Amino acid sequence: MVLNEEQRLLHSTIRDFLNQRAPVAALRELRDNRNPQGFDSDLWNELIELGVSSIVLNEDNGGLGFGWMGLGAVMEEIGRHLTATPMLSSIVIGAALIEAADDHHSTDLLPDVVAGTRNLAFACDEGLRYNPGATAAALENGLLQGEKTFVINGPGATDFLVLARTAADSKGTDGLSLILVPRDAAGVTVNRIHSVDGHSFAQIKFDQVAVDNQQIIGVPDRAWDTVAPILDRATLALAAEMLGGARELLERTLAYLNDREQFDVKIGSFQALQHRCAQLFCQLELAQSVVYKGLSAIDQGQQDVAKLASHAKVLAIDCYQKMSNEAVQMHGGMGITDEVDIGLFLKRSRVCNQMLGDSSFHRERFAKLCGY
Amino acid sequence: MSPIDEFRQQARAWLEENCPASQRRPVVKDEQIWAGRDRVFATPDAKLWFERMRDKGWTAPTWPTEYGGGGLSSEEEKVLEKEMARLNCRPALYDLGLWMLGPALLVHGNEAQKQEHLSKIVRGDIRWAQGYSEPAAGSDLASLKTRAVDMGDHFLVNGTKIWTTQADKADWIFALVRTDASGTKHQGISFILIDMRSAGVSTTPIELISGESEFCQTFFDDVKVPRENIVGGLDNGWTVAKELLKHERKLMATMESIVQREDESLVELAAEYIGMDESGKLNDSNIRSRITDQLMTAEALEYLNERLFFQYRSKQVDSGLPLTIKYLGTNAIQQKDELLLEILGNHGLSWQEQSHTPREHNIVQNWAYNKAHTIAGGTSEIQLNIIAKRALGLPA
Ligand SMILES: Cc1cc2nc3c(=O)[nH]c(=O)nc-3n(C[C@H](O)[C@H](O)[C@H](O)COP(=O)(O)OP(=O)(O)OC[C@H]3O[C@@H](n4cnc5c(N)ncnc54)[C@H](O)[C@@H]3O)c2cc1C
Ligand SMILES: Cc1cc2nc3c(=O)[nH]c(=O)nc-3n(C[C@H](O)[C@H](O)[C@H](O)COP(=O)(O)OP(=O)(O)OC[C@H]3O[C@@H](n4cnc5c(N)ncnc54)[C@H](O)[C@@H]3O)c2cc1C
Repeated sequence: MVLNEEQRLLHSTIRDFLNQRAPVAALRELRDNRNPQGFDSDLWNELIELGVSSIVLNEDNGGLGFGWMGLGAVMEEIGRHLTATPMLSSIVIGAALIEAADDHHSTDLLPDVVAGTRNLAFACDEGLRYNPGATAAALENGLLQGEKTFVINGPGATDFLVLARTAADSKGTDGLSLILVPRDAAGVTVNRIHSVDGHSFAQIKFDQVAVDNQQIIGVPDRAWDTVAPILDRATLALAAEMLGGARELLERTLAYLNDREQFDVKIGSFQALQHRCAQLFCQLELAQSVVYKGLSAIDQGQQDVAKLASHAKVLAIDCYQKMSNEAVQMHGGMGITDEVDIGLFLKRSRVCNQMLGDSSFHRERFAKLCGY
Repeated sequence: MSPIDEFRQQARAWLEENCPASQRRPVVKDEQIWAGRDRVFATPDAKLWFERMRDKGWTAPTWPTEYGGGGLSSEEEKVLEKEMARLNCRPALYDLGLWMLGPALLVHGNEAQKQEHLSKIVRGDIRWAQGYSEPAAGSDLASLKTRAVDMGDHFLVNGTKIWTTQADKADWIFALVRTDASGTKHQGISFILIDMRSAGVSTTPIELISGESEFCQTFFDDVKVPRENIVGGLDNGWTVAKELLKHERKLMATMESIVQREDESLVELAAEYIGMDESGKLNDSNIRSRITDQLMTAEALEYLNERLFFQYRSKQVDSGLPLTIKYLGTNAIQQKDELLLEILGNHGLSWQEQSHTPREHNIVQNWAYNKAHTIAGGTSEIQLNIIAKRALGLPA
């Protein structure tokens, strides 16, 4: 549950790189220019050169062996800098799904994804909230019909991994398959969603899209068996990103409290603020411990991290939400201006809250897994 | 096999052979093995277990063997704790001397003091009390006023201490006294060891909201204390006290795991008192949701402890991290107590009601007693002050 030497080096390399190359200002630029794909390709290529896309691949696929703790360190920095990248969608979820299927796609598609020449987006959500069990998109007689929403990295993707119902009369997460659909296939319409945090999502319509068996990734009708554990890992990675954001907010707020003076003293000397900061720190370290527990459990070969993933996500949500509210409050009037970055973290936190399942979803799942 | 794995195997085998079955159940208050001249054991098994652990030096696993300790490294101690937890072994000895005074003596005591006191502590022969707080000196401990006047070969102690846990049952007390009132309040304090049988020492028990009388007010009226009973040098008591507070905070944090072991599973209790629907969900969705909060906090605390252990082991300790444990751990206990009480419904409202089970009575009594956790050993507010300054660097 601590980083080893190589992981620490990776961590500081990524931190230094993002500090110089992509501070929060880089996100502002994407947002203000309404960048159509939602991320900066040059930046993504440079990150790939630093190895981020191969961190957790198997060694035969060119994996670097940094493990999930190493990946967590990268995600933390992404969270600290609010970096918009296809990391979560295309690598942590996409590449992992392709790799797990272990079929011809692993040789045809995987190297391109890892090299960044192709980009994947996992098309899952359909309604107001994440709920894979309610998937209605369906493949019948070789035609895919359905609508996906809030697809992470949708606008920048070259291919979609679509979760769709393939077994007639199936319910919940049974009877689903994962289907690879190129963005330019006939019948696919992609609409960019400009989300509150300046990142990019898409609404995607699949209207009578022709699909052949080659496009099914992994075992037909049984996609959930492979998808679920990968989403659990992705959820832990996302929680690591969220806590990176929360940690950055705490540090920025402390710096402000040590700088700003009112009533002739630093406002950081007021106990009303000190105690709240101390509580936020405790909450952050508690949540961080669960994230590390989950990531290191994967590194130790634990197959099922479902409970830890839900646990980590809930604590990360609570922490980031509280931290961002308090950061705004403690910056006084400045906190609600667009000029300071605090508001960008506030918005990002709410988006992260809902990605891959909100607090209610994961609390319910945790309770079920614990048997009450 | 690595040496630590070898130790794990040996410890496991020894515990399995030597810990009686009755000592492998969650400990209840009446069966705790407290040190003291008038030590009593609830059962013959308790005595056996205590004696075996004592003779192995494992009542104080990391203390040097020359003082009767186990001579283990901190890593071995962690392994031993884990193995004991795995078998549910009860602690073999309870004593403030073991938890607090001993570690401070190891750092600040002179050789004669170590020889005199440490092995008696390991052997559970003496029960110690802690005489810090006074009626007018709580969080602001350094404002204490109990005086010790230098009479040459001895000191003459006058004043009063309060909240002294088990002072009425203790054989000795370690206390902070003022030996010089001329400087700032942190100067002129000395750390002194006093035999409770000395003439002029008296105690009055104080009844608590839980109905117990765990602590006393302790009075010192012209008590003569030999000069050699000062620890760490005259007027240097604050340094010793700080060392000891470190151990007290650690203790309070581990109290969480002690308490955890002795009490209830929220889910089991709720299943019994509230019931579940056909789908296996608790019938009260609000309680169910708050159980989730509590379990998530309690389990996260275990991971925090585990993370800290790995940090120590790899010598990369985040200095702020240990400071969070007492604040979080004590809150978590109380959060749980509130839920337990609520789950009992009106069976959680009566007081020593004959028709209610001992288990129900325990829950109510613990709920009341455990309010002390966020006060004893430095209140939660004081913990937050410390975190703000030391971990976060906010101005004084
Ligand atoms: C929407 C909006 C409209 C406004 N309209 C007007 C207007 O029309 N005219 C006008 O003159 N002003 C206006 N203001 C300014 C407003 O009055 C100030 O923002 C407010 O008084 C806080 O001051 P500050 O922003 O400098 O924060 P600061 O005073 O710097 O406070 C920063 C943080 O420190 C805390 N803090 C400060 N002192 C203490 C203390 N003693 N104890 C504990 N905590 C403390 C604060 O609560 C806050 O969390 C407006 C502000 C906003 C946000
Ligand atoms: C179960 C238990 C066992 C104990 N055992 C012993 C023992 O064996 N020996 C012994 O010497 N003592 C013992 N104590 C005493 C304990 O150390 C004190 O109760 C504790 O230090 C608080 O002091 P106080 O009770 O005087 O509260 P006070 O210091 O008067 O505090 C009252 C309230 O004010 C708050 N407060 C005080 N100062 C500040 C500040 N600077 N900032 C913000 N808030 C503040 C506190 O947090 C608290 O909420 C025990 C206490 C308990 C509950």
